[in-house]
Amino acid sequence: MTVLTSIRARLPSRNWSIFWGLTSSLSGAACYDKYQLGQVRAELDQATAALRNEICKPTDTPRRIRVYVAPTHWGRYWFKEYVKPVFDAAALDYEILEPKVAGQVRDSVRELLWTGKDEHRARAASGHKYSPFTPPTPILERDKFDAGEGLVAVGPNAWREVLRGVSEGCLAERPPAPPPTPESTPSTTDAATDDPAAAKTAKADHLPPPPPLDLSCHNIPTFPLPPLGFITARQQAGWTGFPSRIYHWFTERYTAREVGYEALAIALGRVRPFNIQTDPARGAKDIYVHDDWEQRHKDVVQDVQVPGSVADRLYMYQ
Amino acid sequence: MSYGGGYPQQPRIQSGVNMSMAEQELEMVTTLFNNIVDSCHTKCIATRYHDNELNKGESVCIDRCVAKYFEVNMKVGQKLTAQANQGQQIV
Repeated sequence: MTVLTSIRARLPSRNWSIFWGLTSSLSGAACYDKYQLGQVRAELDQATAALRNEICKPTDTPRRIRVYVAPTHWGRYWFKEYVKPVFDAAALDYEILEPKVAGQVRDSVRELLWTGKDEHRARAASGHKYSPFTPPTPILERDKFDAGEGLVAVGPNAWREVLRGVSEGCLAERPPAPPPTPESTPSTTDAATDDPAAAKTAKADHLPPPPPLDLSCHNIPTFPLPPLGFITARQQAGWTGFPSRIYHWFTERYTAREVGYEALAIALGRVRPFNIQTDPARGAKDIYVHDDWEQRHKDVVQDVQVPGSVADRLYMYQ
Repeated sequence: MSYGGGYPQQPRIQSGVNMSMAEQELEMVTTLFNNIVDSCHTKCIATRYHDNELNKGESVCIDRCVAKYFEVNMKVGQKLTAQANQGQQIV
């Protein structure tokens, strides 16, 4: 027998060879990727060790950030797999805000800045004098707005909403609350048959849209603005996302490295001035807009023009 | 949470009942405190001590542990009260 025929006699059949070949290569690729993923996580763990081993007195509070996560399953999963381990390792106190519809992140950021302006005015009016002997205020009485609390957006949708919220919050004042609409008395027979839900949505449609905000440079606050952070997040939900998800599952080590180092930059807290050319357009290729959305939800995630007067006062985590 | 028996001006009618209620409440609070300390210490603090002071990681863990414990405690208490009320109504 020649060498080749003796080898072929020892190998399993063609079908078995195909089977074992495929199985071993797929499982080998998966195992290698997961091993490397563990190494990347260990690396990030080591990089944050100095932060979490700092002494913390019982009267100190850890550094806080607010994280805005995009409102789909992939946003939450992305955050939990790649961002949360880094934040937990760095002992950051993060608060996750997950909106249900587009526009809620922008409203929340606007509201935060308007609260900051109100508190600043109240403090100035009360003639607050700082002296080194004042005891620290108890936690429940502290101000809601804190310029040290960074705003982090996971994903380009949330990022654009955050930028929009920051510029509108800076340039506009909180509009006065609308007067209470007179309760229209429903007819007795119709009210019994209608759903209460249907009646509520009908009422909401009849409400006039909120008036446009009055933007002006004079409203820009004098206190420092919170630093901003952006974390890449890819849209992988839906049927068309399947091939991309399979590929990314086998190459999780690259994603974990990319996203983990972005989260590490936020955890370390170093900031650089906002770059008006490149920063507003970050993550443009991953932006997600659904055809079923209403126009006002689609508008809120379009490209943002951050005015120069606001951009000069913004900082980003690097 | 209200601590009974701390009001010097309150007239003590049925002082026996008040005392026993105050004692019960104190015992409840002490048990709750001890359970939180035991549970959060086991979960958050490693057995090999590098330092005598708490570090940031442990502090954040303890904050979250206590907050979650209180929330669960409250929710379970509310469910039990609701069930007890339901039981009373049926009876």
